[in-house]
Amino acid sequence: MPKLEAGHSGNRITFGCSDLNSLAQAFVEIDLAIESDWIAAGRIPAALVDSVFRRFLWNRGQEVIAEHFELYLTLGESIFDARYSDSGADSNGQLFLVLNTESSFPLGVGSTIEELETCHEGMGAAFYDTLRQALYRWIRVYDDHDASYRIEQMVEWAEGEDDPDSYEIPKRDQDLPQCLRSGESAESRRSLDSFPVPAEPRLKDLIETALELHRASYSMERPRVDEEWLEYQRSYYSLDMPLPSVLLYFRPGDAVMACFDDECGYWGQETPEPNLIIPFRPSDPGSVRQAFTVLETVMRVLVLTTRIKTLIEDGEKAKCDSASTSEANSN
Amino acid sequence: MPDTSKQALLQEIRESEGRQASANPLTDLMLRWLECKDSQEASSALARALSLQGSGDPVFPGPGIWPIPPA
Repeated sequence: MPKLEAGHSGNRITFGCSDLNSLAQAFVEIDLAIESDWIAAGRIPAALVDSVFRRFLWNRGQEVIAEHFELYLTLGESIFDARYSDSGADSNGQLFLVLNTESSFPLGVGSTIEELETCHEGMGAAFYDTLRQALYRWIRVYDDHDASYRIEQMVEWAEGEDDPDSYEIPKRDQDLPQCLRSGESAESRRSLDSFPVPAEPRLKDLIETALELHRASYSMERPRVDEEWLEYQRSYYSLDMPLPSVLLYFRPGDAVMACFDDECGYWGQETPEPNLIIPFRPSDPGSVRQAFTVLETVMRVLVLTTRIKTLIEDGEKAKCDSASTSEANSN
Repeated sequence: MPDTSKQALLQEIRESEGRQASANPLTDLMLRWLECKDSQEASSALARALSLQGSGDPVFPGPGIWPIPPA
């Protein structure tokens, strides 16, 4: 099981030799493996499959992603660990690449949204929409919409109690950046690429990276999983919602974070559905190629997300340094 | 990669599947079990197969290894 971690510590191949052999052949067919790889793998299909995965992930930013995200990429004949079930037989000749998360990658965007709004009105909101939409195509994001839903639940619960006012319920609206308070939907706002690029190099880089993220995310359709089959898996195994791979908040301690912390206590009680399921047929080189193209897209999306975080943090650090210098000078 | 080399490599990978299977002692025993006509003999072959690792060492060290069937 290749893991999106730098160390590559774990391997567990639980499906049959026949699938591995087919997959190894498909790798050769689509030029992901050549004769020297086969020799280096000791002429063992499982070892070839393993080495091709490792190389593929490494060459597409695995190290950068693993520095920020705690994601697990699993190859198997089930969409979750089915050691104690009999689900292996229902995969219908398919294998699955499955992306799960262990913890959520926190991305604070409040100050950046406001900074962009000072460049051009509407640009901060457009940046937020672009980021959310690009990420949400591939992974679950916990954001102010989730917080809003959680707050509604909290209000309902509190109303059922004897003393509803004694419950401290986060207030989302006061934590939203001003430009997002209007309630205007993302669809009715201007798109990010319609704004002039900021002159400041860091903001320019930020906007260009966000636009590249958007392009990468929309360059490929999310793989389709048979809905009926997925529904069966959900109900038979009581699958919970996927754990969020990204926490998109505005400020430390804001309502989004408070709701996230509140919900964290309930996660993990049921098996979560994976963030992403990439089904493919190991005997069909075209299907394997498509699965790897999807995987490449996801990795590009994740790499660009880490780049955005770095740019945001660089900006915040520069502001802190500048504030410290001003304070020192005034003293 | 030239097409002839690719075809040769694909052939080699295909053939490796049978090679791997026959290199696994468990597979051999399972095949014997499948060929057994007598159910008692089949059970014994299966028990032996399941209790051996690839190295030939027993997986389960002592007696009482099989779960008690439900009444």
